[in-house]
Amino acid sequence: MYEFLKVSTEGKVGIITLNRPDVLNAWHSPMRRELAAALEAMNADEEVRAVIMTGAGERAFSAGQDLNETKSFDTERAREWVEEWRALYSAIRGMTKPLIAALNGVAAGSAFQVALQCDIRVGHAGSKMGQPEINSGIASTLGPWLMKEMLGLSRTIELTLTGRMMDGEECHHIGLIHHLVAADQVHAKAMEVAGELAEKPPVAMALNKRRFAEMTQPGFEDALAAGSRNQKEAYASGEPQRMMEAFFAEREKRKQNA
Amino acid sequence: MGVEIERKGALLCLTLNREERLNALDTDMRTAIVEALNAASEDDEVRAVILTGKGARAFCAGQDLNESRQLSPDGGDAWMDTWQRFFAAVSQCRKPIVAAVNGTAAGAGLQLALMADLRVAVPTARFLMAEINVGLPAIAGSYLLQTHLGQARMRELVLTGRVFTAEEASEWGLVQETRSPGQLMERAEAMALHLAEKPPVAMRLTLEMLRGMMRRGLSEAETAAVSYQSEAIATGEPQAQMARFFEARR
Repeated sequence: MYEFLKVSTEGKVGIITLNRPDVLNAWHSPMRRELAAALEAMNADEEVRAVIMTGAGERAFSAGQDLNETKSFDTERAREWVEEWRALYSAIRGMTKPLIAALNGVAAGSAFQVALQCDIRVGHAGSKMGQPEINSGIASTLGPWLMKEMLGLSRTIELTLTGRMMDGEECHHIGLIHHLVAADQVHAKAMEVAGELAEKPPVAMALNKRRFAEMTQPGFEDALAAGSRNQKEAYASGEPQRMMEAFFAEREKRKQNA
Repeated sequence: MGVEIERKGALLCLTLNREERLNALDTDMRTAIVEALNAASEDDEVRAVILTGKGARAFCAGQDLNESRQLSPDGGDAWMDTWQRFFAAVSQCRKPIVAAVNGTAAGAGLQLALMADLRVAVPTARFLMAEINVGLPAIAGSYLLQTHLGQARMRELVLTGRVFTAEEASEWGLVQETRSPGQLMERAEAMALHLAEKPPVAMRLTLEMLRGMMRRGLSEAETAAVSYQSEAIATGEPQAQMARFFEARR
């Protein structure tokens, strides 16, 4: 059983729902461990031939990192944190079944990265995506690597340095969202795509998936190594902790004024 | 002849000529293309190459499934070897290549178009990386699509094996121009001639650089393709899918 996920199957399609809607499905260590475990279980289940990942509620796929967790990090914890990402991303990269992101809402930061590591993305105009790490004083490494693989260098630099969020239309235009539909059609369209992929020959499917991981392995290792170095340096400076405290103070003030 | 070879001044025009099989590539055709392109690479008089297909339906339907499904168990290596020579001759050609995509470009036919330098297509051209649908992994195809389009679009096209249109290909920058069937060859020749008139030393050096950018990735993909294909074939899945394909066509 999972505390932070809902997991189900419909026919040959497995569905993993990120389920912390009160914090926009943001993840912390225990939730990331559950997500890796759920993906590995789906991958091992012979009845499942395609997997959908989505978020609970109407606002977010996932807001990414739970800043309540990171605000108290020291350099050693920051280094461990990068290793936790290795575990989750390795589980995603090790999937021999197609993974479809049903983007019911915002996918920010590491959730954007997880969405980019899915094979096919279905979203709506409100499925905002981007890499706002810079705004919390967090150095980005895996995000820029993933974006460069998909978008080329020019867009990668602009998105990384501004931390700007793109709306669903823009994501569709530049190829990040494959199917742009009405918000209430995201789940149905994702099911249709997953159903189609579930009927493909499974050996060829698994071999293609393995090849995608193999093609990108050197870049992945390189980005993780850089991530480890950069996070350590960033947290040693105290900047991310200050930025996140400021973020929470700001939010508290907004709540009191509301 | 499986391939029509025609010289027009500084241009060499190769036409895949097996219309009844949608210009699917058999061993003889691949050999003819390898010989013609290798000769063109060495011939100072040839300054650009045009690749096209006969008829209104297909540029090239890819590998000839009739040939691949009749492969004997020990014939696989020699067969893969002819493919490697084919990829090398096209992707390392020392003359610029314009693909005039007159119809469907599928599987290896799409790869052929992707190895060209410029692409002009009829508006009704259809493109697909069809391998998954016959139970084969698309290894070189993934590399070529990723190089042109990036990971996001590549993964969707490779895993679904879906058709994409000339309009999509134009929007993504994969096809530079579209022309009606009546004007396709005229435009392809104009594009090829435009390249043929460039200063030859700068063209040769620039092409060396461009070919070099692809050489390592493509050759690594081809090596990987041999083991991935063998692994697929050992499970019997592609054979079963192809049998189903021929059954459905009967």
